[in-house]
Formats: sequence, structure tokens, C-alpha cells
Amino acid sequence: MTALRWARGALHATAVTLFVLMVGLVLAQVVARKFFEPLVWSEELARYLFIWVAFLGWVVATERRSHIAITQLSERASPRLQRVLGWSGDIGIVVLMVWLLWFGMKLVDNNRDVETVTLFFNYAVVYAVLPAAAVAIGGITIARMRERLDQ
Amino acid sequence: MTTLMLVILALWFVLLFTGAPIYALMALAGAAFIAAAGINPISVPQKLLKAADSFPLLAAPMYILMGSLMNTSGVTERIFRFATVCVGWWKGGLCHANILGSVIFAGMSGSAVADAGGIGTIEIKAMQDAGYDTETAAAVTAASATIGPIIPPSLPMIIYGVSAEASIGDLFLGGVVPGLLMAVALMIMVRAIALRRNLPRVPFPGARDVWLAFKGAFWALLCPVVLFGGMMSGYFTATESAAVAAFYALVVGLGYGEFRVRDLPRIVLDTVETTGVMMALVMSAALLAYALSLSRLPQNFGGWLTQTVSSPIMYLILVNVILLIVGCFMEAIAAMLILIPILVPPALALGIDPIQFGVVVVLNLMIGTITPPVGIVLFVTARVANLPFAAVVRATLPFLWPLLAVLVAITFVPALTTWLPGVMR
Repeated sequence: MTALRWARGALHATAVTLFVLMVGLVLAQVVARKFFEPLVWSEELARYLFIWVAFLGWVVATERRSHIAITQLSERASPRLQRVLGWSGDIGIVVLMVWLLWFGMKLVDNNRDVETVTLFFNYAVVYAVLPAAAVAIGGITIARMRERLDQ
Repeated sequence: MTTLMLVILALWFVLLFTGAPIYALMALAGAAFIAAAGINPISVPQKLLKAADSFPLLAAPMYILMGSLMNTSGVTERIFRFATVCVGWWKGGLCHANILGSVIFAGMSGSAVADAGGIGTIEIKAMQDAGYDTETAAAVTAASATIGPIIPPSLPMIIYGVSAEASIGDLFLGGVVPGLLMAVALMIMVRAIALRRNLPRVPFPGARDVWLAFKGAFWALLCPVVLFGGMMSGYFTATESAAVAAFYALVVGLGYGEFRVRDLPRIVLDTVETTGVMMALVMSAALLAYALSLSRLPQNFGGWLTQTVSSPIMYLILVNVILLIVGCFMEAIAAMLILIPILVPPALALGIDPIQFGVVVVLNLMIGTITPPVGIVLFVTARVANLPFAAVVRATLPFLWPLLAVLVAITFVPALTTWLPGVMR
């Protein structure tokens, strides 16, 4: 349990830090252009930060069950059918995440030599969020399926 | 390939109602097509990630941040107080104040959900306290929340602009007149209801109170000025102005002293979460749109459409009918991302102004947020007002008419959407 809590804390801290960096960078870009030399790398870095924020936000939304779903109809189903539907949805998500993990790792591997335009790291760093987010979302979903089993 | 796609889409539509997250169903539908058609499976993660790689799209999370800062810093209360002293003394005054408050809040928030869940909470409570029935309060809140993404800034317009390659600045300006028209149309409706049901009014507060309320809301009212001043003067791009405005909201919020720096991590985390909800949809819809383009379904449909429909007006009417139906069943952003590649090329071929088309699409889908069975603003309003979903649906239905009237107006009169961007250019 402590490991889980630690992981959640790390996820939240990373997401908040990257978001603040992203906003700060866009602000710095405005200030730099107005008063100093324009930054050539800020826009590219902000874009990559946004990709990370988007996927980490996807994980946070999974954890907090806030993804949009149409539940009006399924809520009226019998408890038995509801269980089946819940299980199928979770299995679908896990299948998708296994896909993203496997091919996301391939993408990371393929991009080890692809340099970013203005930054010091390569494109694999950007793609690394895919397997990371897939593990987190898949993990949360599997944990939820186990909870359902215990009920 | 087209047949395979149609089968997958039919299956997808049925599964939508199983209660699984919409993003997962869209992504799985796209992935299923890619697997069945024998396309390299690595394109699934690639297309998802590439959909997020856009600097204009980056404006979206900053507008979300600005909205939550405004909502937590007491700015919304100040705006509603100001709106109440302005129009509260009309018959059915708080309904009018609700609409005016939404118009003002629309200038600093880009989403109907933020409006319904933010300033809407205050509006509903104030109306209940003043003796309005909760249904009416919820209905006016839900209907006026749709103005949020029409008056700039606007998340749906950013997404439209990014995916249809239209100017986001022009789309923003194109929404100003229709947004104000929506407010006027809703106010006319409220007036009719107020006279019939003899709704209460607040006594005129006197010039001193108006001045005090104005002074209290002044820095908040200045937010749209900062936002558009910077953007229109060419000082910053749309994304940069979003960052500047979010920063301004932070300074104003801290200045009003209603939240502390300590609250910031929580607000940012909530913003990350909302961004995640939106981006999961954006990325999954982009994957599905990619699969759709491979299936040649849009091309075939577009070809058939341009052969069948030859006049721009006929095409716009057809698109409106399609979108009104789709809007009942689909979430707006997802619907837009899937339909834009299908609907925009024929529109441009027929010579329809891309800005007019964009605003028509967005307004139509915002009406979709208050139509059952899938109406995200209705869900939020029902939760905020603590009413059953069906009660909110029933109360909101009459308010669809004024909004539909505005939709008809901007469909037939292009100048309503194209005039302002033309003047400002």
C-alpha cells in the first residue's frame, strides 16, 4: 500500500511540475522576445511537455474515474449485466494499454537516434511517456478489476 | 475497407451505451480497423501521440487553468454580483443576471462545463435563495453555459482550428456576435417566461451599489481585455495570450486574497486531470479519424455529398441536421474531430466561408451539450443543482428554441460570423 501511495504522489508531483514548467516556459518566451533575445527552443520544449502532461493527465483521470462515459443506460441494467459490462470495459482498456505498452516501447527504441530540432535530448524521451502511461493506466484498471472480484 | 469500417462503427455505436469510457471505445475502434486491415500496429501509439504534438492546442490547458483559477478565487462571485446589480431589477431578474454572468465569464473561460460547474454553482444557489424553483435555475444555467465556448476564448474552437486548419484568432472573433445574440435570444425567452409566471425581481440597488459591484469586479472584468488586447495587437500568439491570461488570473486571485499559494498544486492537478480527460478524447478521436481516412469512408461520403448537394445553403442545412442528431449522442470534441475531415472539404469546395462553417459547427455541437441522452452540460448541471437528470432535461428543453434560432440566423447570414474577423484583420 505504501508503494502505491508513493507512486501516486510521484505521479501527481511530476504532472504538476511539468504543467507549471510548460506554462512558465510559454510566459518566459513572451518576456524573452519582448525584452531580450527570442528563445529558439522554448516552443519545441513546451510542446513536448504538453505531450507528457496530456498522457499523465490521462492517468490521473483514470485514477479519479473522471473520463467521460455514457452511463444513463447501463445504470439501469440488472446488477449482473452491469458486472459483465464493467468487466468488458476494463478488459478493453487493458487490451488497449498492452498494445500501447508493446508498440510504445518499439517507438521509443526506433527513436533513439532521432534528434529533436533544438533540444539536447532525442525523440525517444518524448515517446517514453507512452509505455509509462500505458503501465499506469493498465495497472489502475487491473487493480480495479481485482477490487470488483473481491466484492 | 469501407464496409469493414461501417461494421466497426456500428459496433462502436452500440458499445457507447455500455458505460465504458468514450475514449477507450474510439481508440479500440481505430485499433480494430488497423488490425483488421493489416496496417502496421505501431501506428496506433504513434497517431495518439502525434495528435498531442501541437503548439496551438497547448492553449487549451491554459484556458482550463484560467477558468479554475477564476472559479476558486472568488472572481465568479464578484462577476455574478455585478451582473445582478446590472439586470437583477428586471422581471425574472436573477435569470437575466445568470445569463449576463455567463456572458462575462465566457470571456475568461473556454468551456461550457467550466461555466455550468463554476459560476453555475453560485447562480443556482442564489436563485434558490431568492425563491426561484431549482428547475428554472438549472435550465437557465445549462442554456446560458453554452455561450461559454462561443464567446472567446473557446476550447472547441481551438480544436476546430487545429484540426480544420482554420485561423483560431478569426474563429474566436467570429464567435463574438453569435455569442451575444445567444444571450439576447435567451433573455427574450426569459422575459416571456417571467411575465407569464410572474417571476420575482430585485429592487434597483442604486447607483452607488452598481459602482461598488463594478469596482469589486473590475480586475476580473479586465481579464478578457488582457487576453484579446495582447492577441489582437500581435504582441502574443493565441497560446501565449492564454498563458499570460492564466498568469493574470493568478495575480488577480491572489490580489483578491481568497486563495493562497498553498492551494495552487491542487488547482494545477485538477487542471491536469481535466486536460487528461480532454486529451484522451482528442488523441483517441484522431486515431479513429486516421482509421476513417484509410477506409476511404469520408472520401466516398464527401464525393457523394458534393454530387447530391450543390448549393452552399442546402449543404449547411444538411450539416446542421446531421450535427444536431450527432450532438444528441456524442460528446462535442469527439464528434468534431471525427466529423471535421468528412464535413469540411465539401464545405470549402462549395465556397462556404471556413470561419462561418467553424462557428456553425461549434454552436451546433454546444447545443448538443444540452440535448439528451448525451448532454455533458446537463449532467454537470444536474449534479450541481442536485436534481434528477430527467428533471433538468425537461426544464431545459424550452430554452433550446432561442439557441436554435441563433443557429438558423448564423447559418443563413454569413455576415454575423464573418464581419468581425474581417474588420479586425
